[in-house]
Amino acid sequence: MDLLRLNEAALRSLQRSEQAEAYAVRSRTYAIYVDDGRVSNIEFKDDAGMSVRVMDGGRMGSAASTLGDDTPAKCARRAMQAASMSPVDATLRDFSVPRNAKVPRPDVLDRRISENGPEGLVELAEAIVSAASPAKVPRGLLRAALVETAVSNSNGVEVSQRSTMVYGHFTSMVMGTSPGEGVQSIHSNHLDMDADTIGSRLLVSARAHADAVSFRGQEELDMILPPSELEDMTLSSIGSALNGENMVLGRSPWKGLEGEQVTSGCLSIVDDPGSPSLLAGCYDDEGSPTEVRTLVADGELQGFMFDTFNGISTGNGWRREPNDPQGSYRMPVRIGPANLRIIPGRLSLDDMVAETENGILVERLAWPEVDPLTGRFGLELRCGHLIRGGEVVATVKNALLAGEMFNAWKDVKAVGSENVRGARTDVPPVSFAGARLVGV
Amino acid sequence: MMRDEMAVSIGVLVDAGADFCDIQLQSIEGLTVRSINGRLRDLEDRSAEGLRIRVWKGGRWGYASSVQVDKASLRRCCDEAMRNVRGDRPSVSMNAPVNVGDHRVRVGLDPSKVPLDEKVAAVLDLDGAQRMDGVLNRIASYSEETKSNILLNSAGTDVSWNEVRTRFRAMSVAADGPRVERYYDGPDGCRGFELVKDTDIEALGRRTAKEALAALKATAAPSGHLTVISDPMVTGLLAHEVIGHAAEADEVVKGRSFLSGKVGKTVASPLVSLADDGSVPYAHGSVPFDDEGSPSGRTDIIRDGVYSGYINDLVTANAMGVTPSGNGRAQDFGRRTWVRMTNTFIEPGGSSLDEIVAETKDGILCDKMVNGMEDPVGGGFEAKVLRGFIIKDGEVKGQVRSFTLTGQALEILRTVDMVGDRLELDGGMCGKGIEDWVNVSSGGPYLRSRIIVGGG
Repeated sequence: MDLLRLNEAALRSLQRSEQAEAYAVRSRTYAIYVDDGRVSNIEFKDDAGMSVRVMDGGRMGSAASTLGDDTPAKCARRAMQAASMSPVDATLRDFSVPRNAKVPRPDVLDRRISENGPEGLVELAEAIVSAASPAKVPRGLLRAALVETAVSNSNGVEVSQRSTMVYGHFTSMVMGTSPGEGVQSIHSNHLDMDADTIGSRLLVSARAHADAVSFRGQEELDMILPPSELEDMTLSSIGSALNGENMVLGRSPWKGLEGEQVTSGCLSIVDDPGSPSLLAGCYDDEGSPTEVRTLVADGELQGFMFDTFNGISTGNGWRREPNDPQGSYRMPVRIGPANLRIIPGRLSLDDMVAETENGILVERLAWPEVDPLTGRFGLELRCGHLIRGGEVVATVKNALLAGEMFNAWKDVKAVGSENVRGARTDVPPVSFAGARLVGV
Repeated sequence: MMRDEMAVSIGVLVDAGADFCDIQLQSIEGLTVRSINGRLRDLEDRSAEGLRIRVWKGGRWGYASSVQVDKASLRRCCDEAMRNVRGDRPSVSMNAPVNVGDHRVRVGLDPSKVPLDEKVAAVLDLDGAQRMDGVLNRIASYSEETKSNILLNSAGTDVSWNEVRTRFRAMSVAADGPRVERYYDGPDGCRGFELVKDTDIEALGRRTAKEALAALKATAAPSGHLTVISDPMVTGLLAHEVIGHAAEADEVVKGRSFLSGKVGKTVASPLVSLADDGSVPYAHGSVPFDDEGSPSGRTDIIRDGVYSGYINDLVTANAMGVTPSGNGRAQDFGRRTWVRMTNTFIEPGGSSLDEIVAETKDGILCDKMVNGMEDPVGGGFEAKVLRGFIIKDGEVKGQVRSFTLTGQALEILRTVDMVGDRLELDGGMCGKGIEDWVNVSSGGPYLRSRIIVGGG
């Protein structure tokens, strides 16, 4: 199945429209589920689909479908029908125009994934479970996929890319009256992870959760966020503020602040699609070249991210979700980073703890998400380590960690030295001032 | 044609040694129309078709799914599912009740029969109705989805059904200098386009805009262990996150749920009764059959404060020796089928909202949820609330901005001392962990309890 040929067929059906774009994607996925320490499901998914967008007379419409014999023509017809019902929009911008790649092709293809069955994944899942012992692994998921995408449009864009991805999510618990649950996630393009390391982290995390006691009272303190929790808090605050659509709509708190200080001067933030990561590649899902861009330099805002709908594309228009390739043809294009990296600092995590007088080193939050409009957060602390005078003195849970993240980014106390790759970030631990912990 | 091929394949899989197997054929037709500030942002027509095969053998599922829906693909998926099924532990024998029939939902106005321009006009009208000084973003959206399913299994089940859902929603973002707040509202359910026709679009848009503007004047919520009156939406979030996820029997079977072994024990105030019911007419989470072909039904989870039962799929029902409750669900043909909620709610009691407020000396009244997160292992939860109102000496006072609720589920349910007299359900999407999204609703009455409140 040649995706570019399918795109050509769709575009041929739309020759009379002013502009047309076809996006085709195919993925071949194996997913291994672990329940109660044993592999319970082995799943194979063969997924393929297409999305077509049409612009004609200032009107735009789109249609998407799984791939069948008549899909290109069907999508073209339905997209035209949708466009014909759309009101005229004088501000519509062109789809991507052909441009050379700006980053070298990253190393994102692992033939062990693209050419083999599930056996390697099953072995890896079982090795992780074994390495976590005596903690048990009540739930685990290991997913690996070969993903092929192609974008073509009537402006002459014609790009195709292949990559592999591995996503893992494992939980761990030691038995007791109040066990708690540790978590470890895996994001990679390669089957290169060390099961012993992942397993031992699961064991440590499970024991920390089991030792945690309910936090009582409330206090102001510093918070140290590890990469696992900082990823979503970064994307929902900084990622949202850097989103060009939010800027255009006036709801980015950083609108109009280019060249000004928006975070602490010890922070520099780069979007790097050229390094291996789950969305790494030379082109985004609109066929615009991606580029390594410094978005915040020493705390100063350098620019925003755009797709073709909202401005001159910076190669940040995505349909794909990094952790799961299935169904991306059904997703609309949205602005986002490929691989948002916080440039690491010099302190180890131990040094960061030693430099904290009164704080909480977060191990795990229920759902580490910030309100993207207001920056406010109130997050259930599932496990954290209280710091007094530079030392961990207790492990706590059952509390809310609250604050305002845009202010917190302005009051960073330290940036850690060890980055960890997430789904679309690459961040170190960061220490912030001004959080509040609320318990019973 | 495909149905006949599916039946043949079931026989092939059984002959090849499957202890149990099923095949689902699913098609999904959907539309999203979304506008921002009068500009059409998304006009998307979506369709998908695929098949999914599951084979149970040796205590393990082998799955295969494909978007190629033909005889050759069916054969390839059978081979792949059999290849994936090698098991390594004693197998629960799969006794699946046999269901046969065709269930077509009837909606007032079939969305596929309504012209697209009428849907676009409704969205732009809802967008325009939010126009008000101080409103920065007017967002309006309409979405529809029709799922059609055929499912056959090796026990003899042969069912087909469809599901129709629509949603019509307004969201206003208001700004005053650097301060930005929002409000949303709008109906949803297993209904057709009558959902939009029955909506007073102008009133919905204006109300949404006004409430977003009012949020700009709200103060910070208090923090601490407080008396909380949850509205039906937040009560539903508590039902869903606090108890619902931990009542999923797969978590119980593997000892991951704090509700393991609680049947027959008092776990809540006697005022609390909680159920999951996939057969509530028109509710967003209703399904005629689950994705294993079991008919949906009602499961009493807590009755008068006493824990009653768990929700099940085929595997957990067989492991526990009970009848499947119709809760084996999947996001779509390409995703895992496992125990999931449908419509989860706390039953109404006997107090009016006015009575609950009048009886509250110091507290906070919640209004609308943002989202939540479960903790089946630790028994905690997180529930984000869009806004609230301070209650002082039995009267509603000033508005407070978004905040979060947390605490230990069973401790909270034991503190419930007043339950409202009217049940409302609100539709949404539920993930298990952080993915596998299915349509659900949750709800309940106004409910008074003691919960940890913190800034959000």
